[in-house]
Amino acid sequence: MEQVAVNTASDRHADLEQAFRDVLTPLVNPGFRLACAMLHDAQAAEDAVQDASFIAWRKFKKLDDRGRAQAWFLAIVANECRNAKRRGWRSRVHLGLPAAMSVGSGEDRAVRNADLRRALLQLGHDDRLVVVLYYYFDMPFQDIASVAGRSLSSVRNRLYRTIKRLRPDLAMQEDVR
Amino acid sequence: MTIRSEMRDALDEVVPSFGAPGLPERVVGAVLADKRRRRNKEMLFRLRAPLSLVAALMVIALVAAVLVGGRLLQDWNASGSHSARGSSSELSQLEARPLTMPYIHSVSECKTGPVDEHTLAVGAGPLFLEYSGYAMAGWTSWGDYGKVVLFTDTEITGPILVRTRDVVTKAVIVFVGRYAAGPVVGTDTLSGGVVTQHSELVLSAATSEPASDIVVQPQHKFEWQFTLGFPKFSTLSAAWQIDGLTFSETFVAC
Repeated sequence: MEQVAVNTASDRHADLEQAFRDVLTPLVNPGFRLACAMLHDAQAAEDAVQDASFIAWRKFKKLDDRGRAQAWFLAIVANECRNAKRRGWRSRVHLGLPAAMSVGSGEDRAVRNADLRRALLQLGHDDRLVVVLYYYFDMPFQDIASVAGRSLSSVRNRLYRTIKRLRPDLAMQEDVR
Repeated sequence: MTIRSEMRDALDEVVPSFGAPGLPERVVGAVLADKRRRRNKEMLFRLRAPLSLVAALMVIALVAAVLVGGRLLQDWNASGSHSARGSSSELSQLEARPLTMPYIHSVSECKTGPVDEHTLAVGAGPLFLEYSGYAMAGWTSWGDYGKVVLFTDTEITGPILVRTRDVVTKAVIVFVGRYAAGPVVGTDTLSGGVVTQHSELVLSAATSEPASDIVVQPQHKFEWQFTLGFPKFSTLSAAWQIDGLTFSETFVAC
């Protein structure tokens, strides 16, 4: 009888591991890409995704709706990116808000791209997350709100404010869907 | 060129198009291997733990229970007494102090600071805000709620009064739940429960306890985790004023 109970527990554990593998495996690369976009450093991004995966395992039993797994996991990755950036906080605080991007100044493409990445890195974590999810990952506001743990209106306002800071001359209605 | 295409152009240089080959298997494998290792250790411990070890653990648990129970009793006594939190006259004295926190005209001028060089937390001291540890607590039609942590390593006697305003609009940023005190601003329904919004937070050394939802590194002698609420259309940037019997500090967190 005891052996049967042990087997059942062991089977349950194996099932859970398999379910975790099935759910998480296709999400690792999207998580890695998000971490790269947030941190601009592949090694740090890999560490963030690995740490996020450990956390995901601990919380996996509480994931009721597997259809929401992507937003759930990306939210954990985003949070790990925030922790990874803690050391970079000092520079952000000292530099204050990012300078407006110098796009259109006639500099070549590489300089302009570096300029934009620098401006993104100087944004606060939440601002950068919203901008990256919206403009780079083409994520709808509803999903961004899930990942960022914010309300829809808060996400929209944050995106508007951040882009206005980055590009004061931008007509938002042309860019924000 | 739209900002979307600019963003793609810039980030494509640091983000691999399809992720990293083999990464999913490596990452998931590492998690499950670690899990199995831990599980095996637990099983081994469970099977081999001698009776004497079990007895020793029971003794330790008993001692811990006595200590924790004593501490709880002490806290309970402390929370009920005015001397621990400070008398109401001391608090009134702090409440009478005028607000001197800085305001600005536009959120684009907002700069977080001062920032402590060692902890990278915000504040002039003795209290500091664990600024990067903001955890969402929920949102309602009224606004957004978040959990944050204030901490100090300094022994502070008497009550500590915390007040915060939107750095641009000067709107009151409210406190709900633990430590919330002072004038009632309104009520709201948060996570299915009715909460009363207060304009003040009252802390004391006796009511401090380690933050439970936010990682504060390193841990500090006194920590207070609490919930604040930003009204809708707030800039989400706050000016803070913290008053104690022997100090008054202001700072800005954008």
